[in-house]
Amino acid sequence: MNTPKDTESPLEFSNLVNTYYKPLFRFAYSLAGNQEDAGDLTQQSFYIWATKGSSLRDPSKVKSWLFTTLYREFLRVRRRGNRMDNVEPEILESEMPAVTPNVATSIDAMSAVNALVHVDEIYRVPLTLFYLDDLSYKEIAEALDVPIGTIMSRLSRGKAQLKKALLEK
Amino acid sequence: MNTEEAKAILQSYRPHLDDANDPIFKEALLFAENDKEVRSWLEREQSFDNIFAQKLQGIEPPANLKEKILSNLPSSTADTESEIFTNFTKVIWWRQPLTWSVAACFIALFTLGVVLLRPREQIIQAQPAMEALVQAVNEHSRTVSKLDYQNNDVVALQDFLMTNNSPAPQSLPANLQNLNGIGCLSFTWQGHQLGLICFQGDKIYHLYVTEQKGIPGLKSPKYHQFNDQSSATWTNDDQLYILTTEGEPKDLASLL
Repeated sequence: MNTPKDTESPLEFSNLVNTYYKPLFRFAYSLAGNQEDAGDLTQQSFYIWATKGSSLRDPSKVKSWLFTTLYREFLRVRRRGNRMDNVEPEILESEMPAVTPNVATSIDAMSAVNALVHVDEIYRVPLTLFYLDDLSYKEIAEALDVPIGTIMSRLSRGKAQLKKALLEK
Repeated sequence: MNTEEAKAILQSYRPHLDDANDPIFKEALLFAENDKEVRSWLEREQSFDNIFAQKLQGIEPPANLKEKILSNLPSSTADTESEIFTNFTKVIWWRQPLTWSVAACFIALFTLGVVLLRPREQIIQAQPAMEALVQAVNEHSRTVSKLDYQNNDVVALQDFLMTNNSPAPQSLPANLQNLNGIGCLSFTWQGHQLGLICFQGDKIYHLYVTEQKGIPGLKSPKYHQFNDQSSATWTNDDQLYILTTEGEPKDLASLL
C-alpha cells in the first residue's frame, strides 16, 4: 500500500527539481547572462521553495511561483549591488525589423542567449518566458505581476529588439 | 480590428499552447485567415518563434546542477523532504484545530517578543524616516516643474527609469497601469534615490518609488492627508511606493 511518503507526488521536491530545473536555469541564464550566476539563481529558487514553498496551497501555482521567485531573487541580488547584468540596454525600437526565420536558423543556443541579453530587461523577461513555453501568457502576466495587455506590448517590443540584435550579430 | 491590431495580438500567439481557444486570439486569427498579408506575416512570425524557442530550449544546464540543488536543501528539510513536499496530498493539517491553537500561541508569543525585544531606537527611527519621506514627496509633487522624459506610454517611462539606473516600479496596480503616463523624473532626496512617474487620470497622480531599505513593510496601502494633498504608501518586492494626488485618500484608494 502506498503511503503519502511512497507516492510520487508531483509536488515532491525531487519531482519538482526534475520537472523545472532546466527551464528555470534557461530563464536564469537569460537574466544573468552567464552559467555560474544562472546556476546559483536556480539553486536559490529551489532552496526558497524548500523553506517557504510548503505554504503555497494551490498546487497549480507551483510553476508560476518558481519562476516568480527566481525573477525576484535576481532583482534582489542585483539591488544589493552584485549586478548580474552589465549589458547596456538598447534604445527603444518600436519598429519591427524584417527578419526572416533563416536568421534564427543560423544561430546556436548560446548565440540565442547572447541576442536575448541585448534586449532591455523589461522586455527580455517576458520574452524569455514566452520562448521557454512553460507558462501561458496569462501565467507570465501573473508571474511578473503586470496586466495581460502590458505583457503583450512588452513581448512585441522585446521581439523587435531581439530581431534587431540578431540582424546586427 | 485592423492589420496592426491583429499583428500586435498575434505576436503573443503560440498555437501549441491552446492559445487558439483564447477569445483574445480568436478574433485576431479570424482576421489573419481573411487577410493575405497578415496570414503570411503570421506564418513567418511563427516560423521564427519556433526556431528561436528551440534554440533557447536547447540550452543545457551544467551536468551537476540537479545534484547540487538536491544536496542544497536546508538540513532539517532534507531529512523530512517527503513530509514537507507532500503537504498538499496529506491530511489537511491546517484545518486541524490543534494546529491552529499551537500556531496562534506561537504567533502571539512571537509578536510579543518582537514588540518587547526589538530595539526601541529602530522603531522610533524607522517611522519618522518614512513619514519625513512621505511628507517630502508630497511637497515635491506640488512643485514638479521639470521631467527628465515625457511619454504617454507608462512602459516606456518605466524603461527610461531603469535604463538610467533609477528606481523604477517593478509592479503597478492594474488601475494605475491603465492610465496614460505624462513623464518621469529621477532625483535624490537626503540620500534616497527616487524615481517618479506622473500619470494623467481624472487628475494628475505622482508615483514615487525608492528602495525599501529598512523601512517596515506595508503590504496594504497606508493613507496620509496633508492639507489638500493625499498620499498612499505601500511596499512591494523590496520597493517603497508613494502615490500622491491633490484630493482625498479615497481618490487614491480607487486606483489601488
